[in-house]
Amino acid sequence: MDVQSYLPLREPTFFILLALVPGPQHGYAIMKETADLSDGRVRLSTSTLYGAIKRLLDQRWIERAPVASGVENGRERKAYQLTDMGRRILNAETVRLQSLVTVAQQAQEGAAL
Amino acid sequence: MSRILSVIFHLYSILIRFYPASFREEFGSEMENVFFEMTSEAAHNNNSQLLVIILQEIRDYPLSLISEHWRNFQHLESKLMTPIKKPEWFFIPAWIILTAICVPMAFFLAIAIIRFIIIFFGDFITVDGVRHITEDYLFTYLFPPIVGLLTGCLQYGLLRRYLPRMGWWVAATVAGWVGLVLILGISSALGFFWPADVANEFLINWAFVVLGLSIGVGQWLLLRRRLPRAAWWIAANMGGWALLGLLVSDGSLNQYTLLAVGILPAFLTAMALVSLMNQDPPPEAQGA
Repeated sequence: MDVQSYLPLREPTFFILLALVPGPQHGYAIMKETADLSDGRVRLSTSTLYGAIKRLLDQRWIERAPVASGVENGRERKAYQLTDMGRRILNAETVRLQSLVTVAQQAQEGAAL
Repeated sequence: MSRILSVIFHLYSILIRFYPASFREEFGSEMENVFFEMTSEAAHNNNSQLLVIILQEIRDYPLSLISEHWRNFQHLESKLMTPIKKPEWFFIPAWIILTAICVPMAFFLAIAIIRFIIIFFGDFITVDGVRHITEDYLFTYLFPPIVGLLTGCLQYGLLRRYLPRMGWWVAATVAGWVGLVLILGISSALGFFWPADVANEFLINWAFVVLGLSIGVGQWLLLRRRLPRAAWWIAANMGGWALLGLLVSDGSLNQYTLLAVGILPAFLTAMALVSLMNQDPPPEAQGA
């Protein structure tokens, strides 16, 4: 399967996947991590977050993590984790962004000379 | 503050109910939990943070709602292309019998209703100053919707075992039969052939072709989303009714030909339907 066909990722999708890199996270943790990783630029509402989670589950880029799910304050929490597919797509997007940055830097350095 | 939070949380729970059922069941309680955590934490820190969160939810909610309903609709549409099961050996005889008996049943039912009406209005009825025989006048308007309704209901009873979400089949069949009356009525109003020249064999044939077209198009609107190459359904209907028109247009309508009225189109449509249902679903539907 060609992961390049899924690129570029939308910014919220990229940060959600990135938030799951350290390990399984539940919804609220993903929201906070996304805001932190983006320096507060990407602040997800619950509707945007769960719309994105549904798409990512459907595409099998993430999956439910049964081990990390649980109950806190009497409320059920479900955690999500990256699949291999999701990890490959995130890596591919990271490489794409890196190459963009490299090209931009080279162009700017060339112009400065 | 806790009272305001309680109201906000209650309103949020109401908003969640407007999402499609499948989405709500999968994520509704999680969304409520996350919203509860967010708002509780924000309220603990400062009120402006709480306001920002609420405004953000209000901003994103309509688009998210539309998006989830649209995705749900697309998902249901793709599932339509997956037949519940292939037709068994008895599908063809069952279809023919159910379809064929509708015509005599509708005939006698229409006559029974008209007889009842005659008790109150008499043998003659005056419409726009013109005196008509009640039975003849009402039959034209009563028979098509009755036969459409009976046919639609009986066919639906069989079809629902094989194709998903076929409830509109009844309405489509009634619309097909009523469509004939409308087309002929409009033709008559525009000064074309009907009813003055109705005895003309050629025109009777055309009336049958129009009936096949009208029923076929109405039902095709449902089948096209469930079966590949469903346009053949229109051809089968037109062919069946046209063939019948050829047989009965010489004016020899008796009880035997009345029975045949149902059998010929029913036979052709049964064959067409079995062929259509025995096709493999398209690849995109197989993954649905």
